[in-house]
Amino acid sequence: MKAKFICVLISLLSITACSNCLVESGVYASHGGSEYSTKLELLQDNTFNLEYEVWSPGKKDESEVVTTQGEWSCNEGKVNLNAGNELHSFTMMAIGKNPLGMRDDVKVLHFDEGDFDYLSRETLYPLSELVEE
Amino acid sequence: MPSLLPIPQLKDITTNKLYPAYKTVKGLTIQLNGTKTLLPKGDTLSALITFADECGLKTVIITGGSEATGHSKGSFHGKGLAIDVAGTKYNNLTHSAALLAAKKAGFTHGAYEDFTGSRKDHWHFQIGAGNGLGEKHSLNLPKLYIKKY
Repeated sequence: MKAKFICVLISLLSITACSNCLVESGVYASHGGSEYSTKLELLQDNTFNLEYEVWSPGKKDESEVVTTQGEWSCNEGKVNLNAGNELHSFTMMAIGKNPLGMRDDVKVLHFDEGDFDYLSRETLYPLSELVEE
Repeated sequence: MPSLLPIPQLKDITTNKLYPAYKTVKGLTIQLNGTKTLLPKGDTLSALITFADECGLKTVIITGGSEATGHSKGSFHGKGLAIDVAGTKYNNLTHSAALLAAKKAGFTHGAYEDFTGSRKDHWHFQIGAGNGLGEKHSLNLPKLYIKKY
């Protein structure tokens, strides 16, 4: 009986831990307007694919693309990206009033300073919000 | 070369921390597209302010500045000598108006990157030739160089 109770308790705790993450898997990308772009794909199995493309002005056809894979972990709106030796974290937040013409309630990923230089202070948007009408 | 010009003052009018914004002495707004975009310093800041004051818009959205990370090796952004201006979807500017304002501001080379069907379009202006921008990108030419993708 005691073992059964502990088993149920562990199950409940693990459900609580899983539901603690407020960040949805999906594809997020930088807004653009400069000579680089970043795309982050958060997969449901807690792995991620990160793609960073950079070019000289007027030479996107000669761009350099860097791809990185790793795992992501989440606690409420805070996410850690772990790619072995490199760590970076971001917070999911509602965008609020913005100059980009997006709805205030769009949830974006805002990055802290971290090991991926090109992600520091970056904001990534749901890809669906970046598709031009 | 250090700037000999006084740095014009900007008033921080940011209302959303994700999107810093500044007002020039003439009352025009320089709106950054995010916290990754950094205001340049010295002569390039003076040039940006002049561009904002001269382009004819009340608010100009800037998508690139002096940020050292995120750009290509040799980028004039990392040297503090370039700006990116959000394209026509965000800034209601013609190429000729942008060219004129950029020249007045002291930028010497530039290009418009035209990405059909996306929000990535932008003007890139820099002080000096280099990092892929040469004679055909000179702002002394009658028309701005436009690269369509």
